[in-house]
Amino acid sequence: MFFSRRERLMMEPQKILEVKSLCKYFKTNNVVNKAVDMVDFSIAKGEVLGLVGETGSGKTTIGRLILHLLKASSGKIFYNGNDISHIRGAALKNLRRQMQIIFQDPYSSLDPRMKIFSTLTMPMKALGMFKGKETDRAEYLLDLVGISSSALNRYPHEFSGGQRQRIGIARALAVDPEFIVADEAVSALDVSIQAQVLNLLKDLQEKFHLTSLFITHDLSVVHYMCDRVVVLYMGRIMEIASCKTIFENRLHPYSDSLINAIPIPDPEKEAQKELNIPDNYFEESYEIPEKGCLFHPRCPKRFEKCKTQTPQLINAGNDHGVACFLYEKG
Amino acid sequence: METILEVKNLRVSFTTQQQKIYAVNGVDFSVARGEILGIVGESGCGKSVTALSILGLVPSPPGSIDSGQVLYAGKNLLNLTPKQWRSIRGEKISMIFQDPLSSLNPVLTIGQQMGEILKYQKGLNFKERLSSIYELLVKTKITQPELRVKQYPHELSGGQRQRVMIGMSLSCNPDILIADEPTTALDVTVQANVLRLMKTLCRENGTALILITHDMGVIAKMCHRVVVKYAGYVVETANTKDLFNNPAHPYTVGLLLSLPRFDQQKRRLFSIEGQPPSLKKLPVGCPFAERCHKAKEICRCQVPELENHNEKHTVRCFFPEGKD
Repeated sequence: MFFSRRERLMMEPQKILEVKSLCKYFKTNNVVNKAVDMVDFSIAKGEVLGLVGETGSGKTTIGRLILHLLKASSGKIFYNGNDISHIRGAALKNLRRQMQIIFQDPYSSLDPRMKIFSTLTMPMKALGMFKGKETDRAEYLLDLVGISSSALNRYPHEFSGGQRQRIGIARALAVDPEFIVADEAVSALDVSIQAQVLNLLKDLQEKFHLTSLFITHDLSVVHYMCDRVVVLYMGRIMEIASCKTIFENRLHPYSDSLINAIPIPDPEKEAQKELNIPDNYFEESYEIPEKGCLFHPRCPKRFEKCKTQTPQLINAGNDHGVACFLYEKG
Repeated sequence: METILEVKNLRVSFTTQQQKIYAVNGVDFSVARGEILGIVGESGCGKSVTALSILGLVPSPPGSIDSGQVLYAGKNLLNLTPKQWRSIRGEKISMIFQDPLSSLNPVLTIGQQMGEILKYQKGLNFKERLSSIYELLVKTKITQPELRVKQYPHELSGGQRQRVMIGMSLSCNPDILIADEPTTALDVTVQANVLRLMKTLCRENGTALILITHDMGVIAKMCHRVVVKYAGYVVETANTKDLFNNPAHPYTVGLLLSLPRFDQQKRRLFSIEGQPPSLKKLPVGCPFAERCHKAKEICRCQVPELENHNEKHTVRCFFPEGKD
């Protein structure tokens, strides 16, 4: 019996990953930088969750916290119902078998002195998987991502950016994980190559029933890849909703300005936007407000309350969360 | 409209130890006063080298301009002496680079570096310089100009730095502004502001803008006319609307279909197979033939000429779309 990914999502709604009140504070020269502040979300099995935001919104930090590449300041992370916030040693190693990451930069994420064969088989050896079948597995992985097996004896510098990113994907899949964090996986690629890699990621997700956290700054890519979206701003969640809702019925003024700012490859629509959006619509401000909503210095709809109080994430119905006083009831 | 800059049959190559690499292969285009021309293409297609050669900034050696002309107001810029170049650069033609942090001098304050060009090109004294710097900062919508002139580039945000670059490049009211990926390093909301600012300022001053980018959205937002480049060749030129509505070259068609679009129904992305050829070993025929679904025998042995397709629409293809 064959089910599409959508249908499987409906059938198995269990949460594979959940983060609760996750915080990461960096201290430099006695200044505390709240990179991630009280973030809550969950990902269902088979779901692709998009994490979007501008530079400094904490999206990469969240990805790294989940993978234990960074230690959280406070908060909890649950994986398949188990608290993994403080695990180490063998349990952490076992977790690595199930969670993998695809990095942004295909030039620096592969070891330049390792042949592709070693890059692909090292995770298997480290975790003691596929013993004796490493070569077969490596060939199979390369085949999956559309690279000929002659690549095994070559070095990363012999490949183009797109090919290297494919190898990065093969490496992430080497230990047969069920959860993948893709951190700006296509941002460094040219448009025509980006389309190839996006299609590849989509196919692999379908084939291996992968659950993913897809981190990107590009909302067009989110629209193509994700089921649900989290919009981050300065480390806090502004809005969380299904992909369709974010693009069609978004509530938060920040999500709105993000989407309106994307230049659409259609001159007529752009000319229309030029007329509809006032000159001062996208306000810029780089100071982090001491109190109030983090977005209020840039918000076109701010009012008095926004300057003094911080809005909490409230439920606006239908799994749609928004942190904005405009939508508070009563 | 009056043509202000014309590039004719420009060929630029770089000599390495092993071979000669052609980065720009017979590029022709022209820009009219006040026009915004977009040059779009993927990495390594020679967009930036084209821009650098207009300003005579191709490092030589290893670079050399093998043939062609860059005509500004009827004069061929490629024959100028270094002294003559100084009266062109910054004053008549100026440039904005992608990364404002590495193109601004980190040990000079904003005021010092903005004042330099005003001192040497316009001969203003300290007081006059200061007042024109304030004027420029206000024009580029930088907040607190009195504070900014005393700050160093690292104290400014990316958007502010790029605004400083724009202010500097427009300080002598140039006829032509070349912007090489000016907003690629910026966040989308800041990009929207910076692009709008550039558009307004160029319109006000009648400055022609050559905008180099890889982003088709930016082209649609900004440009009147577009030049599409591929592997060092110009493959298509057209008015922006015409290009988006009736793309003629198979590469342009594929490129437009491979963009993820949130304003349209979700569909599987079209992807152009393979990857762009390395400039080190360009094929004998059409550079796109290997990835083209329309390619026939002739495409693999001969490079097509850039020919008229429609009015003001040229294409380098034997079998363009819409002409079978």
